[in-house]
Amino acid sequence: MTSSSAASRKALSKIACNRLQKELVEWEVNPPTGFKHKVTDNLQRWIIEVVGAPGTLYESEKYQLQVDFPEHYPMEAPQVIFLHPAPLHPHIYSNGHICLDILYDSWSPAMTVSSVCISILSMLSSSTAKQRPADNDRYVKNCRNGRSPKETRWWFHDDKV
Amino acid sequence: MSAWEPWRRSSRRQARNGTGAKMVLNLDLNVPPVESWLPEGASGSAHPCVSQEAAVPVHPQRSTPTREQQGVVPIPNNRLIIDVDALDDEVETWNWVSRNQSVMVVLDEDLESNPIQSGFTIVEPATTLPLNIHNKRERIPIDRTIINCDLYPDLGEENDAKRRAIMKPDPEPEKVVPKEPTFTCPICMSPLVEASSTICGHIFCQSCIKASIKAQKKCPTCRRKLTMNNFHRVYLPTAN
Repeated sequence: MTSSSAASRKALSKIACNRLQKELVEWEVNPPTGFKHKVTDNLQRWIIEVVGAPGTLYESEKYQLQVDFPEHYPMEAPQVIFLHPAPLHPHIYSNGHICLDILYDSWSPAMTVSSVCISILSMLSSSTAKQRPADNDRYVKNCRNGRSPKETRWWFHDDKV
Repeated sequence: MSAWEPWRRSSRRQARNGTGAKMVLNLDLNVPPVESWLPEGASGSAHPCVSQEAAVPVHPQRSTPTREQQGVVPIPNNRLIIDVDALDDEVETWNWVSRNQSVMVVLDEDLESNPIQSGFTIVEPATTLPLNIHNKRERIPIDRTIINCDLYPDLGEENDAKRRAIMKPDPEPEKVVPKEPTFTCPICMSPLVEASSTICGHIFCQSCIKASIKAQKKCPTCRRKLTMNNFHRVYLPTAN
């Protein structure tokens, strides 16, 4: 992947800005179920609260997602992480990084914050065990210097959760 | 009114020198050209063709400027012409003017106002203006009077606000036309600009799909592998 931790700190392009404003308007009109956008004046970083779906392991649990947009959003994927504490999930590391292909290799500019949120909630909902990824400690240690998950070479092996 | 100046001046000049060399635009094609009647350098002011009371049908757009400036004038001549330029589209609403009436109101676009408010009264019953009012070749029958709203500029200004309120509803009916369907580009989320389809049939703005292929080499919607040649402009139909 491209070096997006640096890019995400760069100001949004005009195209990105326009698109994010449209997304925000659409979100306000029609927010995805189970999500709440915490209003800030920062268009480039959204904080979104997610509530575990009823009938799942995470029912009624509340978590916070942090979405950072790169300069060339939507050509580049946003960086999406869970703020502490991250849910216990086989694809969510304790530092909040999420192993989900659409956030990295499979990102498409036709995707939206809303669609990403739905994918994350779907990933949570389909979990059968509340546990950390097997390589959690090693990975988190590697990320100690504040590395973005977008710089990780992810290996997407599990299509069930 | 300032917009009338140039051709008013030119029509006077033609009346004075009468060479006809610069009058081509002024002539009705049904009438023999002036050149053929006039010896070169002849004094045009005396010539019937170009004098103020001329019977030669002058191009309607260039007609009767002087008279309009004079306000209400009984027309001695049966060849007077409506200044269609002065009749803005909005004049359609002035349907109390009819062909058979003996008055004609030349309205400046800026001075349209309710005739009663403007201080003159129209006695005739209201009738509808014929549809061909926009026909630039329309001639006014004899014995018409021109009422020039220029004579009431202060009144016009007084009624400015009112008039706007009156004129406002007029453009509305035209906008009742069924709205065009607008399609949104899934990438920029704005109405499509130069709509372009991929070979897999997904439609984006041209610039959006270009940027996407450059970034990912696949379709943003279905992820099909694409190259820069794998999309083309499409021309979506309109509602009409």
